[in-house]
Amino acid sequence: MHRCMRCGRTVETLEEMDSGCACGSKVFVYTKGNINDGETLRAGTPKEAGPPAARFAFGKSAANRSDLPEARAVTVPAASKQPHIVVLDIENVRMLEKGVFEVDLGALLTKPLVLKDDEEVYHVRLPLAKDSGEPKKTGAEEDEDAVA
Amino acid sequence: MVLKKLMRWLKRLFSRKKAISLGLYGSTNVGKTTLANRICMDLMGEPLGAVSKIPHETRVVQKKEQVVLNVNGMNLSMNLLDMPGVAVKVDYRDFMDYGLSAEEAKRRSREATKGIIEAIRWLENVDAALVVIDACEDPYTQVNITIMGNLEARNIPVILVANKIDLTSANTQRVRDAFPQYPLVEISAITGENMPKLYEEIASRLY
Repeated sequence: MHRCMRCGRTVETLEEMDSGCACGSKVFVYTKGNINDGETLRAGTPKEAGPPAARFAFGKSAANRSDLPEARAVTVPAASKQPHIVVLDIENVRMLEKGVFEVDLGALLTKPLVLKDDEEVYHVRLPLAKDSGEPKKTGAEEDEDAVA
Repeated sequence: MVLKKLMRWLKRLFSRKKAISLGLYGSTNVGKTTLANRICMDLMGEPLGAVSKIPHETRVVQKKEQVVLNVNGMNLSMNLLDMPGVAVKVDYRDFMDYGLSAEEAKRRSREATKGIIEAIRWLENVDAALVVIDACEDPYTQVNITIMGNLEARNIPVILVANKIDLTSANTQRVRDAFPQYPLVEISAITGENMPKLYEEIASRLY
């Protein structure tokens, strides 16, 4: 989980990290599992989230916190216009819902087409020996069937 | 000396492929089809495909065969391949912002995804590529980096085309800095600015 360096609020989604903490800070610390206090702080104002960075029970000053093996600071650029990076599992095209697709370009370039549909069903297009030449219309039609 | 030149000329003449397959690659809405149309109009007098502000207008590979480029007396015959725009996410809701119904948008989304797969498959069949980048946008994208990396891995000659230099927000230096190892031509496909430079670059790299 990630916590704001300034107020200690727990951040649960990447979107929250992109937009920054409610206290204005854009620096977050990664921690393994729950913090010693066992309390999971929810999104809210800095006041609701509790005391500032002192809540981390690392026993070191904030300045040295990034040196700890279990802590890693993540700085989110102010622009937050980072590219949408897609790296999928064994599939290279994922249908999140009807009309919404994600494509893992790297995998698509090196592996046969594997589509995972919105019902978690995998469709694999097995490459045939005749596919070695220029893409044929039949191949495109097979792709269309897979995507459909 | 003259004999050597003659032999070299004959060797090039007979070893040359009939036509070079030149693929236009890039993200959506960077001006690939506008550029393809510009090249086809300049060299053949007829356009190649429809252009639209809605992303993924080109959803199948558009092909124009035997496009002949003549630069300094050299004739270069090309099969021009306008590829569908490559993207890592296709969401039908993006098309609905342009007034498409949900059904139309979902159909377009499916066709666009199929187009991306088709464009990737065609990488194996292109002899050279023009990678078109919108000079007004950040060039450090997963699409650009993946395409460039794979073209290089396949030893496919690449010419970078920084398009839309007619717009005030264009920043070609950013494109140059992102991919310094590739030849880059700054153009405006819509106005035709610097197109002769691009033709010279194509001729010098691919002839």
